[in-house]
Amino acid sequence: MSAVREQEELQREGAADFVAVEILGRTPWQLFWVRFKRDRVAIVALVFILLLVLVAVFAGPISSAFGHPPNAQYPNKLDIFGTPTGPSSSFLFGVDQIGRDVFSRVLYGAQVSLEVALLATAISVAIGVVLGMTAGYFRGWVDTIISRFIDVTLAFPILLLALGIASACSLGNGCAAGLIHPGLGTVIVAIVVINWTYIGRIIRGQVLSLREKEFIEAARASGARSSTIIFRELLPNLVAPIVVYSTLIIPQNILLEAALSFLGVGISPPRASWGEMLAEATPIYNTAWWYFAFPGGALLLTVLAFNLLGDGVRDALDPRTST
Amino acid sequence: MRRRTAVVVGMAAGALALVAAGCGGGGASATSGVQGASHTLVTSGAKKGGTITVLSNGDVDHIDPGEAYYAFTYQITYVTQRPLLAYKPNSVTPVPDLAASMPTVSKDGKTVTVKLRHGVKFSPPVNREVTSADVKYAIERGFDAAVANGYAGAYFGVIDGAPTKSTNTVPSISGIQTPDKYTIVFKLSKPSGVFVGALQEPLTAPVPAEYARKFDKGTSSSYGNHQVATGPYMIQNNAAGKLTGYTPGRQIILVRNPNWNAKTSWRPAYADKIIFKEGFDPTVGTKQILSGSADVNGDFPPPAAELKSITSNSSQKSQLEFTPTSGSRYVALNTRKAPFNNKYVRMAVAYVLDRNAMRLTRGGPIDGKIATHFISPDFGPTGFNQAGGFNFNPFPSANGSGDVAKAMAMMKKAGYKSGKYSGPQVTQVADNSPPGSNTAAVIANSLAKIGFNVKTISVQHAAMYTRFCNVPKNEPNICPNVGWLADFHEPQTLLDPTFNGKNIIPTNNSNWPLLNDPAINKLMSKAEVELNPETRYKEWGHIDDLITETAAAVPWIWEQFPTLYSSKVTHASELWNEGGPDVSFMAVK
Repeated sequence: MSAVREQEELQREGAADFVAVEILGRTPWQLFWVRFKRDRVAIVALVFILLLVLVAVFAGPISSAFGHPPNAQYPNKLDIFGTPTGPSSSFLFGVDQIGRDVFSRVLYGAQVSLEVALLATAISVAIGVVLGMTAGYFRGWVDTIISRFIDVTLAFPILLLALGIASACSLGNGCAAGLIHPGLGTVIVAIVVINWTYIGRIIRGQVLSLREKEFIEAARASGARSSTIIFRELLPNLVAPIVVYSTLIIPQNILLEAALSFLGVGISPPRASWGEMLAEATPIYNTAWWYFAFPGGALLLTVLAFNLLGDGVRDALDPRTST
Repeated sequence: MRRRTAVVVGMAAGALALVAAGCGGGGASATSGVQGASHTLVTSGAKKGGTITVLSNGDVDHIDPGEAYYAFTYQITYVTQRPLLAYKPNSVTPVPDLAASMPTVSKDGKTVTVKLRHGVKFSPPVNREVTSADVKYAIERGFDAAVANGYAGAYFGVIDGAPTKSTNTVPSISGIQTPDKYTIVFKLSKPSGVFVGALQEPLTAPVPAEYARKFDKGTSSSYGNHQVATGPYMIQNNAAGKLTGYTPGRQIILVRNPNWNAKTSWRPAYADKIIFKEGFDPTVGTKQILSGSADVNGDFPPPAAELKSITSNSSQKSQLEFTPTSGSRYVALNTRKAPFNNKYVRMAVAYVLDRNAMRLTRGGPIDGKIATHFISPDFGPTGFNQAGGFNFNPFPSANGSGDVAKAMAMMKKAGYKSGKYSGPQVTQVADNSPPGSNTAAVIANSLAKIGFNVKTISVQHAAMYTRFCNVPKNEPNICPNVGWLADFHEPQTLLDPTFNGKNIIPTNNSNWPLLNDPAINKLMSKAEVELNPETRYKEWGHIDDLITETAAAVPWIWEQFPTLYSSKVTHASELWNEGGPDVSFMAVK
């Protein structure tokens, strides 16, 4: 939509809210929210994600109300050939190959996916922002070291690198002198090692152009220290790209965790993860459709929701990129 | 122990291979009436001619008969080579093959004499009659590192003058004597209860020294690719003797051996040609056999889902036969470390394990019977009955689903007042893929019932053996996915490598529970040199019971292997060889 029309629309909405005021002053967040809530798809995605968070937080009570403990085995729910039985009133999503309740395991799998999504994203964004700003602001040899390091990391095939890290750390007492334990920690480390580079590069690029702007020169001329300039002047101007890229790498991280668990180097058993459930469902897909359909569907919807939310956030924060 | 499927575990002389995880959902029978056709062997009136197609997933381990040590390879070895003794399809009793009669053993047990048949000839390009010197050379070359036979040390190391480690050239063994062309005499350093049984191994199939010596030179023998045959079939070759019928990983073509004389052999050899096609996915292979475009499965069991549909189809059901795999799968408990150094804790584990749920992870009753000791039912009067047969079950529970009350009583005896374990976490190293990973999950769940918190380390099946369970200093508390198959029907081949304290070695160990019970060791040393079969089987049966009662390892399944025949061929399953077809007895209808 054109800038003019948007302006008119904002004024009309504003006029409805505050009849007496002629000119409205709006903070960037108010502008963002006005734009965002017009995006129905993004709102649906947001609602879905909020529901998912509730499900993950209350996985315990929900599964005890409608299902069975996630690691309890019910061999009597397997037929005489060891084939699992499908959905029924007491096992809503059927059972898996050793008689565990798929419904409960899908709920608990949401915990893993969200934990990974939030923790891995937060850590990689934090590292990426700090190193990206440092490189972009100081330039020179600092920039050279950080940028070449990013180049080298990005030169590795992503999945293979993650596989290598995860499998090196998933045996025995973990790696890095026991600091990284097998399981969720390993997966998060593997994802962070790879993902901070993307955000680092983008932030560096933004800082390179920002640092030449007048307000930075003014700050420098008034004698502000580098740390003040970085955190007080530059950082607030980087909020938009940080938020946009964070929401966009969340679904990537969920998929990467699923892929690692699918390949057997992710979450350690018996904890449920959607990726690991899909791996177990593969050899019996033609006899137990429910075992890949439910975790697969949950993974699909979650990743889709985060992607749509990310798109919505980007459009709302940066209308120039919208079409 | 011979492998069912292809996972090699580092081979030193005498190191034996292990039950592989990949054995899919094989096996059968038990209580539920899911048994396929009984073994029906056509022995007369079958038609000559035609082609039989065998499908396999993997390749042979080694094409050289002196190097082969794998159930699938033996399907080819035994119809192309003639060891001194061999088995007919539906039997586990060895009969003379190259030998003219069963070996005679001297009173002191230290001299074994075998007479050879007259008129057995090598295939082209050698074309001459087989003599006792060819058998001597065949066994000697097994000790050469260039051939690296996997069992020469274990069974033939007892011959006087046999090397104790593999050599760099073919050694000359003074204890193998050839007084005339048709007589071979083995002088042993001590009596051996399994020596005569071992004469059925393909290592005793003759190899012509004057032809083979040039191929046996160097660090790795190439005789396999230039081998000559003595059986009814030979791998297709050219005039110089080089194989043309073997494309590794693709196919092996057997044609009739023109120098084979039917009068010297009990093999009917109906078909003219046999093709082993390799690289088949088990599901695809099963469907091809059902459709009739192939005739039988070689190395893979039809997957559980296929077996489920075949056994519920009245016409296809008769195409399926189940053969015991002569051994058991078991859960090994590390007897050197706490808490399983305490006998009562181990007995609690034996009581609590839900063997029925464990069996369901491999396909349920169709995979075999729940094992209650180690010598498997197919041994029958050669050890199984003596151990108490199906009635010997020191740790019984309803339906094999575990007895928590008895287990807790044992834990109390072990000093855990509540009846539940309260010490530190225990570790198991398990397969990272089904069905082994599922079995391990069921075991962890069973042990939780008596308070154990089991940490599972998941690795590939081969790494489970080579990095953890075969290395005593790295061994975890529990090895849940181990198993052992017999080389031949002597109970010593099941129990000695796996439970004798003297066989614990720093690497490549196969005594997984690290059991070193002086009383049991002593009984084994005695049984090893016992020559009277009746006494020997009784002794090993007793040893089996004693080992089971220590609960150092908990056996849970005696598996069976399903062999699926097309409707166009007659059946002939190798009972002695863990299932699979004997193609020399199969005929095209």
